[in-house]
Amino acid sequence: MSVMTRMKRAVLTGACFALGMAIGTADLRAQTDEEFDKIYPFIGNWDGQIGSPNEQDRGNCGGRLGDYGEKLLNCTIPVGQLPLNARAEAWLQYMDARQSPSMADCQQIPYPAVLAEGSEIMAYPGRLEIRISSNPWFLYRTVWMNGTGPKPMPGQFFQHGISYGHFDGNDLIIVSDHFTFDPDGLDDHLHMASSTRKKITERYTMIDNDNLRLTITLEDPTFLTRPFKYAFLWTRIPRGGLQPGWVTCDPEVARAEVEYGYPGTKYQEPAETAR
Amino acid sequence: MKLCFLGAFAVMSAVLAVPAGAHHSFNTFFDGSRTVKIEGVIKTFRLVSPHSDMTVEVKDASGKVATWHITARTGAVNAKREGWRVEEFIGKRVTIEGNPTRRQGGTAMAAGVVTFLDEGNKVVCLGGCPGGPPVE
Repeated sequence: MSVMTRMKRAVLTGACFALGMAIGTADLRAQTDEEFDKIYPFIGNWDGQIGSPNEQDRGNCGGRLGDYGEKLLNCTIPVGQLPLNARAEAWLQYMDARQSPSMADCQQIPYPAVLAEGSEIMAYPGRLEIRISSNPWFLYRTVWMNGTGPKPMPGQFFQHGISYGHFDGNDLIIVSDHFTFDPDGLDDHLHMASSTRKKITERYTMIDNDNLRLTITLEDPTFLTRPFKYAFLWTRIPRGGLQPGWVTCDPEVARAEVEYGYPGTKYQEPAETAR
Repeated sequence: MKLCFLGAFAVMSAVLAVPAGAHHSFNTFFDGSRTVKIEGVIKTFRLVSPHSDMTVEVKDASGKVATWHITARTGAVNAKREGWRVEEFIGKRVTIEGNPTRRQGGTAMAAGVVTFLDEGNKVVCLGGCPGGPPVE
């Protein structure tokens, strides 16, 4: 073996070793016993109780009515206390259920509305994986823990934002931002939008082994006069429950449902009305 | 290492579901305070989300045929759990009860109860009625 070949091999071995050390160090940081002990209580399946007998009262959309006087139902945020600004009220006045992307185009339900559903929380070195199997959507997000994970480039936005987590004492904190503008972004039953300035801070506090309190701080200066804080109680779902549903939504069917049911022509262009 | 194991365990044991909340607001499009009943023949039935979708041909007294669009009050996941099979619906003579569209003169409803007239009045609930799958 020539001297050059031996040198090349040594350099390659060294590079591989350095790469392995770098990757290994990053992973080890999240595998300490302290991290394990903190994350362990949160792992599992949690029910936000939205459909259970002791269903939490979220104010049923604060008594707000739809276009034809129908009562808006099943909002996942206490709408009556939501500090909407004048711009938000204007949005609601001109809101068009036919154009709601979560109703007509199968767009996934946004955060924070979907937090009422509960979640499955899974832990991996350096990240949490959280999935919500609410039919007809199946939402999966990664929470990058303790400074790990990619950082968005300027101008990069995501429907569900990007989420980073850490612990404050024993509380799990998840902060999400870099959301896209979303016509249903504050609540998909109220059909209140959210802007790219939306920021959601989730604080998960264990009450006991089977119950936790999720406190949500919602910020969006485009539509809210101040940050808004509210909470859910989540209950652990015992093992042996139903299978989660991996089902995709059919936008053609979703759109037909809206078109056949929408009661009128308020938002239709004259050409549409004439059809 | 413990965390790795725990993560893998969590994935393997993630067979539990969170009960689904209703995220398509029926109340916006269908009038829950009223009930209509039609009789006709099922022409199409698709087990899809957000809600399974059926068309039914209904003849009026003069023989004129109208197509009704029926939105099940539950989605494809629950439809599969219920064991619904499309071929057991297509071509069947049925009555269907449900909440009508809010659109004036519309021929659509959110259902509801399907009664199979040629099968001893067998009843299938398309969601939200006693014994049926939950509303989604």
